[in-house]
Amino acid sequence: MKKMAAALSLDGGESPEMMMAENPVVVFSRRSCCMCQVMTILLSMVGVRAKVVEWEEEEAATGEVMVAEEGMPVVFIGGERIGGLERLMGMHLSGRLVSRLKAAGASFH
Amino acid sequence: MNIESMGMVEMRRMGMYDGSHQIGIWADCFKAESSQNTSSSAVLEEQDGRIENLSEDAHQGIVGPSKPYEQEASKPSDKLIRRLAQNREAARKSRLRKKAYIQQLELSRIKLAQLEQEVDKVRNQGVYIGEHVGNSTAGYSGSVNSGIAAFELEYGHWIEELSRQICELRAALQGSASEIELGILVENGMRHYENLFRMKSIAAKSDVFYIVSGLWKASAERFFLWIGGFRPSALLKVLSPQLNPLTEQQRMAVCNLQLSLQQAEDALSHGLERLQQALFETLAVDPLNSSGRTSYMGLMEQAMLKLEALASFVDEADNLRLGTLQRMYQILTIRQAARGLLALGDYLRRLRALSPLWAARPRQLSQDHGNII
Repeated sequence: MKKMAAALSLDGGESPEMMMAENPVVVFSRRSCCMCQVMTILLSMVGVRAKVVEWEEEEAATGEVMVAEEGMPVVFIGGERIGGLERLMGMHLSGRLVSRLKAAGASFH
Repeated sequence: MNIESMGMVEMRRMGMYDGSHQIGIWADCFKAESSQNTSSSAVLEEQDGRIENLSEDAHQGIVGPSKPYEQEASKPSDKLIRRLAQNREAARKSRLRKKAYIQQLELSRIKLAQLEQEVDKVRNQGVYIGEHVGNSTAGYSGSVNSGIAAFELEYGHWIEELSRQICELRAALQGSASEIELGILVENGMRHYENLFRMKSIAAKSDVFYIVSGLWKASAERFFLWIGGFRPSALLKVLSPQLNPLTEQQRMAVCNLQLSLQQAEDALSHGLERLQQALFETLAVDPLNSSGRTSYMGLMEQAMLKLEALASFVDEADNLRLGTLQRMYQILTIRQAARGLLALGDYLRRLRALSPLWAARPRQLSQDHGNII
């Protein structure tokens, strides 16, 4: 995992794990993915700004293996994989999203 | 100078015009093309023949006797006889042509009726009959798509099954069935909706535009369409009034659900707008741009890549619908859930029924016949 992480350089060489450590909410996505936008819009409606990491096609395959078992876009809250848009919306409908975000230390605007 | 090229004036000068009454009438005939004053049936047999005769022969001048010295007042000349015969012939041909035309029209009419029947048959094979009388399910008239045809057939069964379940629910609630019985009915109802979304997901792979446009739905349903189905927030509006009394805890949960649902809906709507925008920008390239970096096919490929996301939107919208139902199932008691499902099924049935009723409504025609009062 760490070897692959090193090979995958994003935003100045940060590994996904470093990303997640620095940001309570991270969304990994392919470039110009509509569903990723839906995710970030929803999160911003809830009051949180997500860190978006977009991967080019070449990196996406490796990235998927690493972080997105079920495909992209995928959201991590507090370093834990939540899943895709469906999971995120389901969590929000059942009222668990806000508490999860707060627990991860996300700042609400 | 032969007689055909002679004008009326010449004929008169030659003394031929003061001849028989019939020739006078002939002259009048050819003088004015629009003349309607020919009453002599011997002159012309048919309206058509006359018009033809006029147009064909008018430029040839007056018909008169071929030889001036042969003219007699009471006896029609050879020329006249020939002219009459030609006239009859022309009239006859005209009648035959008219008959042939009408026959062709009749054949076309029959063919059209046959084609309409075929179209209806194909439609009804897939589309459920039930409440779609008089309601056009908006021409899914493209080439036969087996995935969509299968979906339409299944949907017909789905509607029938829904009706049956609604009846059962109503009977159970009115007849004070046990909690267990109600629980089974509710679970069946939930699974039924799950099936619908599964069906839609499969059909969307065949033709996503068909699903997004809600073409299988009644026209009144389509009025409320949101990404290939009903709005989840509207769902809550239908359910909520039916569920009283709610505990305070339930009320809060429903309220929170309403709020988060609205946000999720809005997020999806915005995302879809972004997709539309992206597609628009891909297709709306400057036609006069000759640098043409992207070929036509390249452009279309780009557009189609973007369109692939559309099926995901349908899936996510359906997930939201199902998620709403499932969340309500969590919040409500069994009895409340049963009432909720009944209310939903009833509402959908009435909405569907609106379409044919609307189509068949008596129109108020304007009574303005110029009555001045």
